[in-house]
Amino acid sequence: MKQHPGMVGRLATLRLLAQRFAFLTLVLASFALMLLGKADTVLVERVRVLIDDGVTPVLQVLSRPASAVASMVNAVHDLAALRAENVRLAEENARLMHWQTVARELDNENKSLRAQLNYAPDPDSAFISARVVGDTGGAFVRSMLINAGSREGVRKGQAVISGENLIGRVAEVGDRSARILLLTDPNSNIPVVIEGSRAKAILTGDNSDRPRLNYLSPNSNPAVGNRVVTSGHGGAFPPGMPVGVIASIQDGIVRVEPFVHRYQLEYVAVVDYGLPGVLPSDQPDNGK
Amino acid sequence: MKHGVAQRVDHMVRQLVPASLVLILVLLQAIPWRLPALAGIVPALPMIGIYYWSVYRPDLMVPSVAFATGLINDMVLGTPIGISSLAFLVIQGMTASQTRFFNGKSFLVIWSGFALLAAGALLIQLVLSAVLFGRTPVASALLIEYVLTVCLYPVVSWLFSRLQLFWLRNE
Repeated sequence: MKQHPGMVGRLATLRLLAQRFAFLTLVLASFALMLLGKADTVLVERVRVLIDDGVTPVLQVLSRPASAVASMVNAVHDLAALRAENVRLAEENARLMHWQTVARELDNENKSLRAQLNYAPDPDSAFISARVVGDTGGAFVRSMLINAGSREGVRKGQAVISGENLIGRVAEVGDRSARILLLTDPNSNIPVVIEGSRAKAILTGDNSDRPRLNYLSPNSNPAVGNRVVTSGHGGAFPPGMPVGVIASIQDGIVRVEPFVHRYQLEYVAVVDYGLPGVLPSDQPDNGK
Repeated sequence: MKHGVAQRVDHMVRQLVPASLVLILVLLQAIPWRLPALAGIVPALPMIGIYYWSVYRPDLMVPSVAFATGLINDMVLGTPIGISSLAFLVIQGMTASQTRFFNGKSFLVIWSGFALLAAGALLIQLVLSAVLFGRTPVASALLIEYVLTVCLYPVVSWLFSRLQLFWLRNE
């Protein structure tokens, strides 16, 4: 306020002009970046990974109190549903006990049959456990940040599970962070089979909570309630990992309800299956 | 002139307050809240910061700050880069061009202004994301995000006004 009014005016005009120029330049730069992101994904990914590595430690600290709040809210929820949940669990336990017996029998049978057939077993999987530190993207992107990266042995294309269930794959790997692409993201394509009919399909996300089954063979007759598991095709994922159940079939569009929901995830495991990622490298070609 | 350097550092740090607060909002929206009701919904908190500072301290919320914070927002969220930069620039630019209009207006008017600009910014993100990258969000999720963002404006705005009083009073 001490300056001369005329000088203030001139300065303001000058500043306005400079700002307008900067504004236009930066708008153009934004468009240029969008096109660059479309064309050169490697460069963009590298920068993204750097920033993710930087924010992960901060998010890790910040996610603790958020996690405590979530636990409290969930605890109140659980308290209300305690009785019903108890009855349900008792029933489920009885059912599972039966399945356990069946599984033991099948396991023994399987072992003896494998011994007879000289069956080559699937490679063993190793697991890398990590904490979800960032749940990002909102309505546009379905991805998460975890606090494990190449330092812990996480590699691009590996499957990510919660419990036994598939939730997505590793899309970008930093030094100490990695971004998981969830099943519901439009860029997620997972080879699956429908349990029972063994019909193959590709599970593709579309930002909704229920990804859809594409490339399903026409005579496969999927039904609501059928379980969907990974097929292991492409070599990225172990076969037989539970993904979800068929929730609806409308106008030929089959939608799958994943077993795990995004908001439930606190810890996840990255599966190191010992096979190359999504991109098949120089595997011996059996066809020729 | 004895405290020249210290004063200059102090001044510089204060200049960075708006940008830092927007960055904190970027991080806040990336935290996993793990609440079933909020599954897949992330309110666009940084937009509130961009708008607030563009209205009250347009000298500190310049285009380059909006651009840079937008870029970091895209990096952290995993959205296609450049999309948030553009949306933030639009909020900043539109607000900066209307400084005279906003001057001395009631909170309700400023809040309405935000509701309008946030809708525009989200629409830009929606169109660009769909046209350039083939990513169409579910309309209902986007709508809830928008409503949540607008509803959170008074809270963030109140917090920022406290901080502004505290840090930037002497500027």
